[in-house]
Amino acid sequence: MAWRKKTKKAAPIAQMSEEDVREIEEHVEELVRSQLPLGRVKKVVRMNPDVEMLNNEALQLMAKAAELFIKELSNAANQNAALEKRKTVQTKDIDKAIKKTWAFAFLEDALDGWPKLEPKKRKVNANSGQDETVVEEETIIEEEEEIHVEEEEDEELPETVLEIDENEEIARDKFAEQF
Amino acid sequence: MDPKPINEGMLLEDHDHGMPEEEEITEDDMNGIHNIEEDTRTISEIAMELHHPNKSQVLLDQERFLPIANVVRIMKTQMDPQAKLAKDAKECAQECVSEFISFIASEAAEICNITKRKTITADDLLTAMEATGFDNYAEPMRIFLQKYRQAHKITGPIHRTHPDYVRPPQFQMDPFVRPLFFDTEQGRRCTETQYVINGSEIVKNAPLGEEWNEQTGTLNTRADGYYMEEPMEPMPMEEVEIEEHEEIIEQDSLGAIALEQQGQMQIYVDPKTKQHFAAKETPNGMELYPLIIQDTPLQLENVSGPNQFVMNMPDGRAIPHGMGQEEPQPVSSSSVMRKIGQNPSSYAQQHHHVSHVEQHDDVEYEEEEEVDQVEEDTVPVPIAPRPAATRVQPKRTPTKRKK
Repeated sequence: MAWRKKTKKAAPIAQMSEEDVREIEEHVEELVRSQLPLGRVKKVVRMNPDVEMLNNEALQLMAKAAELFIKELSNAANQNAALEKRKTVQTKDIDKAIKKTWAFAFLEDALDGWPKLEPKKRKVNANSGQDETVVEEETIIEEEEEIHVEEEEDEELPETVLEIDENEEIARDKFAEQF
Repeated sequence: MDPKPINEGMLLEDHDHGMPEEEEITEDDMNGIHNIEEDTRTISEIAMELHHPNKSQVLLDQERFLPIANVVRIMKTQMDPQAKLAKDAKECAQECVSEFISFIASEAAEICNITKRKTITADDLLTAMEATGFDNYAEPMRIFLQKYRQAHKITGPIHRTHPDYVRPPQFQMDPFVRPLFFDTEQGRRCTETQYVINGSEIVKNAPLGEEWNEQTGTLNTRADGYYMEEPMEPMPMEEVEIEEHEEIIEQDSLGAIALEQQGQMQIYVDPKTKQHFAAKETPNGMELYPLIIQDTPLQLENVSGPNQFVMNMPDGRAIPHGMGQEEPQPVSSSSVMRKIGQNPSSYAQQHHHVSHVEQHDDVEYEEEEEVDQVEEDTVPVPIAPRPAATRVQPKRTPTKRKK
């Protein structure tokens, strides 16, 4: 009896308008939703022979982590492109970003297969350039850019520490804003 | 001169034998890397000679990579609107992302093997990120996991950090994320409402300072052990939140009408809470719901203030608008109606309806149930989901009767 009385004396529930409720629901759903398709992420994960089964929460977490990775990688590549005052981001910028930050060290092996990044294959392209004029022009442009890059590498060394800090701060601030 | 015929031979092999590529991909990682080299060469040569890059790229993307459109969309959020992306850069980023996913997944798989488990959980992924040096990812991911569990009303284990993990400096000022529910010596505790249910007593506005250490982010009493919420019931739980604009009248018929007017109803199956209410209010089943209605928002309003109250209220409502949550809604509402319609009935029938609700919960979380059972290694999981559902039920009913 006393327990029932206590419940009756409780304060009434605060009411909200339907529009406010809908806005908050949409906001929460946007936070939880991920932009990558889960089926594809699952396929990529299961290509590993070690992995047997994967939890639903783990799948969501992996997709969100992949989003974070893409954002951070594109941010670093964009900075490298901005240093050379170019509007188009190229593979070279991504390659530089991978070499500068130690967190991306595991990606160095992944890019061994790309023929354009290896010097030996560049020579092969140069040899094949003798036959076709279009290829010659492309190789010449690439060589010039390479020389230009080599000259700037020394200048960029003292800025690596600052860039790392900036990346970390940017990543944290954006997530702080989201939540 | 020499490399040309070799490449041509590889082209012929690739076109003639599509099957060995798939077989090689399923083998070791080194073979996978080797296949990547072959594929890139074939792509470049096809673009030069045959002028059909779309076909081969589509096949490769569907097999190994995430879709380019989604990756590029995410990349452009970090770039200026005027900036452009070269095709090579897009493909390179695509490959980097798939490499990242497989890298972390393999680390998590090793962690599972250490503890002799086969299913990778979210905590394993967090531990893998901490072990591999992705500290900047671990903290936001922990917050994301907490928000995800809140939005879907899922309870899970407390994350145990890797022993070598050190929090990065920019996150040191952030507080650790608390779990939604955990058990303490005083009783079962909920962080959102800050009340404790211990047997027949309910303590409101209980402070968390004594039990939850803010600095280390662990429980004081059980800091050493790995805490799992109620291992006897691995199924994730769904919360009961019924909102009414009118007071519920105790009469059966009028009460039923009042519940019909309510649009959104959800069921949270917490066995301790449910046992408590059912045991206390056996003769009057009506007041099982009013208590939940009045306690939760009341505590939020008093303790955390209006802003957080506004944020936390729709979390419960978000579930019926979710993708996978829409289907079971009418089933749960019908079961609730049946309970109200049969108030004067005996306790056994009410108990039957309770088990009926659990059946739907089993159907709803079919996959997760199998995963959890495999984790425990105590109950063998059959392939068919239906016999698993039937096996789970008889274990719970006798315990309730004994209590």
